[in-house]
Amino acid sequence: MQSGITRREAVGSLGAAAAGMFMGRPARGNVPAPTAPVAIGKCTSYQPSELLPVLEGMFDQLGGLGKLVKGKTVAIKLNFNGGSTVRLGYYPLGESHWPHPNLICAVMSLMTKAGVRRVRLVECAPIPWTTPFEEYFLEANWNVQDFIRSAPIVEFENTNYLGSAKNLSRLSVPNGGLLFPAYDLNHSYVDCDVFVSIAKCKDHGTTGVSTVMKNQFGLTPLLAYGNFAGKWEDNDLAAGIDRIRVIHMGAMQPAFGAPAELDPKSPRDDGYRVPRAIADLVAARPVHLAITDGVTSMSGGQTPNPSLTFVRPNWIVAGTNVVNTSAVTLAAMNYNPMGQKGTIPFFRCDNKLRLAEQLGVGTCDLSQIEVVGRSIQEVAFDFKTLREKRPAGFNGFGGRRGGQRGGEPGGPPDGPPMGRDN
Amino acid sequence: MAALSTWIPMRWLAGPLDISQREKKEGFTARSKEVLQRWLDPSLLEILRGTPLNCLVVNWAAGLPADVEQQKALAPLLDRGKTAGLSFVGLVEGEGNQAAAVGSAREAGLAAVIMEGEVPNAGLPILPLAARPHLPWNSSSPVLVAKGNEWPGIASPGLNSQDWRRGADLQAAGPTAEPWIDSNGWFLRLAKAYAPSKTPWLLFDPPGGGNVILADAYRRAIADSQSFCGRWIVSLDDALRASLAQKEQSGMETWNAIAGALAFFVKHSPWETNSPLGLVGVISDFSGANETIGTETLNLMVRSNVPFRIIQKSKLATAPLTGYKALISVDDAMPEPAARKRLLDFARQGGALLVSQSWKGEGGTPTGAAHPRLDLRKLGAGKLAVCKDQAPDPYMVARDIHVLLSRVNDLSRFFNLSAFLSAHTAAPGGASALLQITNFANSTRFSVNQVTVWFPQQYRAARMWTLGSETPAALKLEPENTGVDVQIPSISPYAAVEVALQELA
Repeated sequence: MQSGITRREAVGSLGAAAAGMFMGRPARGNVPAPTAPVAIGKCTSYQPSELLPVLEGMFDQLGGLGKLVKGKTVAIKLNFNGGSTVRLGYYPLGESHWPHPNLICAVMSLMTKAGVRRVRLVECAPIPWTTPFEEYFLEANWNVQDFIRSAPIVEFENTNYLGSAKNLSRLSVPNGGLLFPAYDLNHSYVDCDVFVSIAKCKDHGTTGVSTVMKNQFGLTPLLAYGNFAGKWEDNDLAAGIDRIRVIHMGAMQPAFGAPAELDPKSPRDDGYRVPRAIADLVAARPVHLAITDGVTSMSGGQTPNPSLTFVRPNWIVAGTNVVNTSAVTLAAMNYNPMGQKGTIPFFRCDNKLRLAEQLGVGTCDLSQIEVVGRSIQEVAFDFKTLREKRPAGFNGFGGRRGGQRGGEPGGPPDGPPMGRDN
Repeated sequence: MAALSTWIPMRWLAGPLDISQREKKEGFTARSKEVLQRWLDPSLLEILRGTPLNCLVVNWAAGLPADVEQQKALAPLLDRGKTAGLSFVGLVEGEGNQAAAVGSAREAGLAAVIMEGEVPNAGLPILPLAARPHLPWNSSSPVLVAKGNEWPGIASPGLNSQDWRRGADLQAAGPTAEPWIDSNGWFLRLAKAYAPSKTPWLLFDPPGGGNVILADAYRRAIADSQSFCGRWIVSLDDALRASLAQKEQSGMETWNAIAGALAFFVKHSPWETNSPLGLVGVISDFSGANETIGTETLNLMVRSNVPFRIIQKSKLATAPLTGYKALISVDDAMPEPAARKRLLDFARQGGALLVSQSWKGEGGTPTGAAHPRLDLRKLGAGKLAVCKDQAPDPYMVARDIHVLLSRVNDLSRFFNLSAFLSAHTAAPGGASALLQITNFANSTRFSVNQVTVWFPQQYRAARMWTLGSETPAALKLEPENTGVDVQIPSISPYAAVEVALQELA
């Protein structure tokens, strides 16, 4: 008997609670936002011999991968921000600001062990649609074969474009949304049974930190939300590498038929807009498994520049509720996940975790979140102090978006380019 | 006097003819005139002492009334220079009496003349001059001189590049935001393909107007020529010549930088015997109706840092195709049947073949993949890509061939470099490889520090030469993705990276 529920409807309903074990509490109104266990693992290298047992243990602590992925198509949203040929010093991208390829492959291997049917690697890559997404991996010096060998069926989809679909897929924000009522995205974000966000933990000038929630920002295709959206459908040029005009500044509305923003009179400030867009997106495209790569990373920004600092937090955080996972990640970075605007790390932005909590996605209140595996205190790495110590003139947070100058107190009026938000 | 092929030339602008030619041009000032007069002073030849420059190119005749006066005015300079062992080469241009100009050059003791056309029984070497790419490749002269060259650098709005490529904000960049660099490298690659035993000289001057030409810009101009086995006829801008005439420290510093760069490449002249590396072959006759698409494809291949080699269409039937994984043949007309069969066989055996629209219907089965510019077909074990447009965009050709080839076949990958050109060659015997990188970034916007170049080979030794360095610096190697990362501390404005599977000699 058919259920009568479409895959799209199923996506919406799965949101906060995937496959039973991931059940969270309902939200909105007087009802507390959902919560689900978050696992922390200590991991000091990207050697598969260390990664695999650590990750497997963490997934077991969350209830096991099998219930989530067996027989399913899994889409993994990568976190390719900042361009594929920009490194922090000599560090390969996976050690500084992209999730490490070994970690992604380890997750895929464990999913394979748990019976996954197909894994689709997805990201909005700023390359022409005629260029296979795999070429972007190669440009970053990643070995595509490592990924292909990690799951029974592996697909690569550059979600800046339509892919095999004829149109973008519209995902509405439950309860109306904060910035946009709905977002038009590549079909892969709908045509999957399980959606996974794997991201590096990093500082971020515009929204405080960049982890598994901020990763959702990169769902928005340049085709509709890029700076030159609407001007390049006739060819395959990736005209424009970010979404500053549409989302950060609100200087233009989305193209390609995507819904306009809810309130054109709302602030044109990126500290207002970007956190709301992220909250909208985590509500519209729920995450079933969120994994933060904090084995190695960088402090001071999300896009490499010489002023940033390479760091070794030596941990991984994973959970089935993206807001819960993000909250624990922030705590492990020594930030207050419930911080208000004007406090570190939310110097000039609204707290996207709290916004997502308002949308009923999950709580950011640590007292409501069960942490399993290692404790936050045991692994905490002090991004906060590193950030506070950054000398004036080297804030690395850009700060010119939304017409504003100056990223943070003590920062320069004209920081280095921010690079691409994904 | 040194052998002609070893001349290191510099353009010595001075005298009445130069004044006559320039005084009607915008930006010519009384100061400019004074400097051109001042540079007739033989004592200024002292700046050449200790430099590798051994050949001065002077304007000799232009078919203007000032020709005679010019030749007379140059006499003291020529006398002093010849005594010092310098060779003088006269540039003969214009519609004047070429035979007379050559005769006066011979009588004045010039070592050669540069000119278009021929003069029978000249009595001194004539170095053929032509607008690129129309050089007389079969000339008996060991030196060919090209005019119409670019001042190497990031293209400025309104200069050189096509407007549509710069986007709405008029930045000098390609559609995917990479800087748009003007270089003469493509032409030098063509020259070496057509006349491998000859030395191409490039005639071009620094940009005039209000442009301030920094020492690094001169060093880039030298590196851009030398990396591709050519020789720039060094030409100084007005401000620098004025400064040198006054023996100002700033001018001398720039001059020393120029001389140091020239000396560096003289020292490393054996690198010119290296062979270009590249898995892509560009096939064309580079002439007639195919000149634009052929030469612009080379230009864009250089600009895209996709290593390539040139295959002359006339030699295609017998040219070895081993070592290639992709071929471009976008000349309007199809090659001869035998050559066409070779190309199709190349694809059938697993190669990627990108061809012009005229190849439509040549076989293969459609892949079904949508593409705005190419009809993508599977042919045997390989790929056939037929251009949909009769006049394909060479930028797209360069980009599309890289995709067809796939980055799996990259010979190198670059990190933290934004505005650069590279020349990748192999030493004779293949014991080592050389990657020459010229960085064109001036501003802090582009990172030029902590550059990484990844090579697929598991090299065990790497070292770097920079302009002016007497000894190489050892570079750190890190295993990465089945190959190695070579770590380069900085590139300003040029670095030559030697890599080898064994220790470097």
